[in-house]
Amino acid sequence: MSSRDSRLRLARLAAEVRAERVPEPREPGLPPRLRAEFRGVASGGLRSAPPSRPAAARRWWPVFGLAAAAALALVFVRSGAPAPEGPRRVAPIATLDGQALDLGVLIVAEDRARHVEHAGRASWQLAPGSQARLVSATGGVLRVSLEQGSLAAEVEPSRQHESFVVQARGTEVAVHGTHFIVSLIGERVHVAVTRGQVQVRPTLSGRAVLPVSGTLLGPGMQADFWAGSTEPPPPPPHTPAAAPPPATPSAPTPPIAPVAPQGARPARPGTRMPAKPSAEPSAPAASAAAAPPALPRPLATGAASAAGDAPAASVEQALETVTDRVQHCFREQVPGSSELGIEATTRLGLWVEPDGELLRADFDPPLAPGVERCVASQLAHVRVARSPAGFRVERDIRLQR
Amino acid sequence: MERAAAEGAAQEDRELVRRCRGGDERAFERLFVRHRGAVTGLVYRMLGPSPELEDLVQDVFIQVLRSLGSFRDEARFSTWLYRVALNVVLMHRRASGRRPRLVEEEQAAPAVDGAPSAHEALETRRRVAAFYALLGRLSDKKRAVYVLHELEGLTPARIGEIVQAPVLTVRTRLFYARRELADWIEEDPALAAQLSEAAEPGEEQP
Repeated sequence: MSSRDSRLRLARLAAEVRAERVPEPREPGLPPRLRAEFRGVASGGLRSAPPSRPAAARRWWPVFGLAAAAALALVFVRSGAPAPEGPRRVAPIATLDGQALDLGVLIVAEDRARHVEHAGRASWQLAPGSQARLVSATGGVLRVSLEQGSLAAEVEPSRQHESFVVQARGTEVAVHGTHFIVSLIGERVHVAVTRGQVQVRPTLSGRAVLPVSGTLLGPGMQADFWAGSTEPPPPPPHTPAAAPPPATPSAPTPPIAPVAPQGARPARPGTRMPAKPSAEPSAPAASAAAAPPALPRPLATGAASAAGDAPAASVEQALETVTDRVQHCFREQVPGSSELGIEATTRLGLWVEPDGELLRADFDPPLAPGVERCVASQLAHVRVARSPAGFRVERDIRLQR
Repeated sequence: MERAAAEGAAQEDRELVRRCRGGDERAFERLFVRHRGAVTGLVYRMLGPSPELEDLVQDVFIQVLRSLGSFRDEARFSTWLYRVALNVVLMHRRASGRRPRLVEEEQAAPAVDGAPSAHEALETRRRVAAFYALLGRLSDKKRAVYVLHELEGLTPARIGEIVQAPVLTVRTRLFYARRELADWIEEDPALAAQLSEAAEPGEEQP
């Protein structure tokens, strides 16, 4: 059978499938499950997406932040309380100035939500019964550790690729956008994104830039994670009675408070909702067998170039090395007459480890499979200059033959 | 004319969404009934025959409910709904860790009054099942684009809005999806024969 025959067969088959009748629903109206869900959600108030905050309002944020800082300072001065040892509990006031917070201080929202403002950068709100602490604020990145309950964050647009990160029980949620909620539910970490994008991945110490694996969640997406993975851990052997099911909270889960001005919907325990698929090796074996032996694909494409704190020379050297190899493969693999020039433009995404090992190279739009196979083999043993924390970078490249 | 009708439908969707947000259960029911067929079709064609079809369709609308706050009125509801449905399907596939499978072997029902359709219907079902098995071998991105274009009949521009990718990327994925499917058919003589069986009689050859 020729390739043309195969395509004709495929087209006929597609027409046959199009003509196939899709199963009819059993119930004519709204199924009881949806009806119950609607009543549950509606009781919390369904709201529309918030309009962008006007520029005038943004200008007042620093003023609010300063006022909150002043109020906080006043509370501490008046109370005259000595600083306690170890993790401290912050006085129960409505809004805290994030810039005045000491690293490692435990912030406890007991009977009502606590709001933390990092003026001009981000704000986050702890639901009642939740606890969190600010663990670092260096390099333009705020890192918050959620110890218990639920946290809703809104992050101001920034040139920093990931300016806000929430760590929770082995899972790390890094901001690519503006508004999301992280909740600890039993062993699970539930992440719901209202606006923008976040990347969820295992918490790895010592990383300064985007790690190589994770799951990208976009607006309206929710998902459960266990130590950064969407797969729950296997149950421990021989202890069926001792191990509670992962979806069952071990303690009463605190209610999740939406951030009022954004109209965020609370995430719900047990929800298993969509996430953009990760390109992790957890993909079924059948798919791996069918795919050409190209390098793994990254999770996010089209993002602005982000090389973190890596030295510019390392980044440039890596890009040059890889671009040369790609160009070589393009010339070698793209057929055609020598008189006819062929040009292609693609966006190269590159992931480099601190020791200079290339972890991934991705092309959007993809190159011809033959070219990608060639690139994969060419880059298999390439190392570039070391950098303090590794980096990720993207660049448009033009290939010519 | 068609454009005016589509705009009218979009306007009605927006009104229903507005009423949903106000807690109007009947508006949600109307929204569900209006779009249930499209969602069912998309889920069915992304996964193939599945006993979980109806549950997944409900999952889509549950996700719609929970995310209604993030839906922006200037967007087309059906585009947003397709995106939600695709995400639910992909998440389901990831969670279940499986690809669509061939449906179980079926026996042809006895022919009634010499009707030739019983055996043919069985053959058709087998071919369709083989097709879904092939679709399951495509990557998620390519399958989504292929299904939306070839089976749902959406334009690349509309698909670009749904999968949030440039039209050029959509066309590239579509090209590779078609080529991979055709290659797999070509590489597997048994499959090619199975796909050819009922198509041969009376079919015009190129």
